[in-house]
Amino acid sequence: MRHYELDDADVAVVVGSGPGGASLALRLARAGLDVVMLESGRWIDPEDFVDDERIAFAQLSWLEARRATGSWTLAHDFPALPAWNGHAVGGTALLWTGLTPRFKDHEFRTRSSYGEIAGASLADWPIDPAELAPYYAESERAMGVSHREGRPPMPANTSYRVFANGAERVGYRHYATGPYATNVEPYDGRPGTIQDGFNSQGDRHRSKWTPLVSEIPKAIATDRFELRPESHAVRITLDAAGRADGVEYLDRDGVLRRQRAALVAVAGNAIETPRLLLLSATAGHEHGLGNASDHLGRHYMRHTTGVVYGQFPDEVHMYRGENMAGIVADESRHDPERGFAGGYYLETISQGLPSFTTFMEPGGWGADFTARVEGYPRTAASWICGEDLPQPGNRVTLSDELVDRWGLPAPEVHYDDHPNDVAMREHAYGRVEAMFRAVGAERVWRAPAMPSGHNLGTARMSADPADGVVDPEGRVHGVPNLFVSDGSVFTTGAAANPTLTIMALSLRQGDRIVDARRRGEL
Amino acid sequence: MTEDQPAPAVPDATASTLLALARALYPHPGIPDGPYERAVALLAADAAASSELSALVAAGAAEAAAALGDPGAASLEARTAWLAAHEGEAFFAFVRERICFHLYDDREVWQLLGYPGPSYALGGYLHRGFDELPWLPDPRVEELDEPLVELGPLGASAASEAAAPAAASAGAEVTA
Ligand SMILES: Cc1cc2nc3c(=O)[nH]c(=O)nc-3n(C[C@H](O)[C@H](O)[C@H](O)COP(=O)(O)OP(=O)(O)OC[C@H]3O[C@@H](n4cnc5c(N)ncnc54)[C@H](O)[C@@H]3O)c2cc1C
Repeated sequence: MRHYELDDADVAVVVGSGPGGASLALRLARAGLDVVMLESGRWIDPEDFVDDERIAFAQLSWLEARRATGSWTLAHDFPALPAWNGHAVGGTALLWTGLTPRFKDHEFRTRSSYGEIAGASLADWPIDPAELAPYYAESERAMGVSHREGRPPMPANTSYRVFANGAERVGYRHYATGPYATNVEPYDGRPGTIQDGFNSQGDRHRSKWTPLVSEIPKAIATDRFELRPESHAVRITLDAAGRADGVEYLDRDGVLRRQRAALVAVAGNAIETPRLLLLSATAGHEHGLGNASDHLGRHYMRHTTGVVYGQFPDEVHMYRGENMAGIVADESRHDPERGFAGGYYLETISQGLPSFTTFMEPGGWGADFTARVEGYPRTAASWICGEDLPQPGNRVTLSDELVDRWGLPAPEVHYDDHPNDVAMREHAYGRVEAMFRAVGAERVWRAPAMPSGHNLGTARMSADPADGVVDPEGRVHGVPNLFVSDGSVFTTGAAANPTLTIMALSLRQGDRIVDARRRGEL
Repeated sequence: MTEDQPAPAVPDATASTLLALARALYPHPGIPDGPYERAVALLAADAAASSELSALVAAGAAEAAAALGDPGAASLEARTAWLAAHEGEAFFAFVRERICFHLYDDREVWQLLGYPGPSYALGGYLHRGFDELPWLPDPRVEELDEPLVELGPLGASAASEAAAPAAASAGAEVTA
């Protein structure tokens, strides 16, 4: 692998090796820029992944100090784990399952489509959806998404069979096993899935798309890219003219280093990205980089979510096969007649016994709990993924009390449900219950959110610097060579799972950076 | 996690009280004492990591033993009632969470409850029934070749279904 000197001032530094950072880095390296990637987590070979929920959770997850506050159930159920993020090369994609719906056009214009909603900071995205369309297609190709451009659909596993039949019987029409970013057949040098049911444990088989098995090795092959794992960025530095000129990071031995940079892109996900920008406060940016307008860290979104479980007279064996290869899109529309703005997807979810017992009723115990545990082989489940409304008070801040292993203030994540979120979740719970009953469920029950896998909005995109943190290219307002390249930039969250959109935005941003560089601006 | 018995980290009396409470927290008549004993031993090892936790566990177990007489001989109802009365307390929270965590991570429990665990070495389920569900028809897997309604109500059939009886309130459970 290529090596760059710390005082090489002409490199692009990318912080974070998840889908956002890795897609950008590969784009830049292929265009001939020199790229140094700082990743806080370790490199883990796919063959070292462990098909055990507990061991893999400890191996792959971000387990640094965090705190959840607010009215969301996570503050009660999992107060130290508001989000489930990855902490290794490849980022949270090591944990992800792979559903990749696109945004709908009106979801880029929610303020115009939904109107004013009290308490919500709705805004239209400052970009034209049509401009993103080719980047969506390119992202689907990069991930090898099923159901697209002739790639075959995922076959139906047992969970999907229950879910899709239920959907059909309640009158839904738009159900399918994808689009899903795991190979059905060999693609891009990686094999087809063997349906082993361990997506969120990294996927030993490499059928699931992650940057670890795709963008990162491709970037290394350009010879224009250096990956530095176990390198935790702690501060972005600015020069006298107010341009980013380097990133300070702690290496694996805890030694503080500084990589000089021609430009910096931050892709640490929507909790760590605002934390790094807040920690980088400096003269002229006393409240953090990009925070002149006081939007940094605010408008945090995580999708309106919850799980419904159904138990049937006959066996399901939910642990068999791809963990989330099923989606119903009928309710993803915006239809205020249902009593809320925005829409939601219903998605299959399967869990092994350890996860099932952790999440199916957090804190539960007693004979009624164990009766449901004994029904595990006869259980199917569906996860709700709906648009939650941005609210300025839902925010990531630096803790006054908690510190992480590096001695830095830990993030606190505050989230209060908006009445719209509550109404949507209520509706969604009822619809899944109806689906499961329609195919004979003897028992159905509702469970609250799991720690958030989708984290969005904390460096929101706005045309006017007064309204957000980054411009339509993801460039931090007020720091012309500093970019944000992850879901933090989402102005609003849409119903769709976010990763395809994160990648599309990164690819588009990469093209803009390359153009600006050619013009001599970066 | 392992079938080997970890070294006991609490006195026998505490361990037997915790065993009696564990069996009441997660009562599975078909699961023998072995997995519960292992979960208790792992809990004790977790508690041993901090003097505060050790003291919490020792004091809570002593209180339970005092209230229940011989906890091992106390009825399931009596143990359950004691647990319910102490649900908001730190001892309960720690013991419940640790027992749930360790009990359902035990290989013997997996086997008894029908969770096979890792499948990679067996070739996953690709040729071992990932798609076997004889009690329902084969559903379509492709997306529908028909535009999705993105704004406004669904077509007639689904809309009438969507208006079907509303569900119980959040958190409630419904038995069909
Ligand atoms: C169980 C689960 C299932 C999911 N399923 C889906 C799905 O089906 N569809 C979908 O679209 N999305 C899904 N997601 C979400 C998806 O994983 C994320 O949207 C995606 O990974 C975000 O990419 P990212 O690059 O923005 O951030 P991440 O993937 O989180 O990557 C950020 C990286 O930055 C690193 N980092 C953070 N701070 C620093 C620092 N200071 N210095 C150096 N490095 C740093 C982190 O270690 C991490 O590797 C799922 C998530 C989970 C947890």
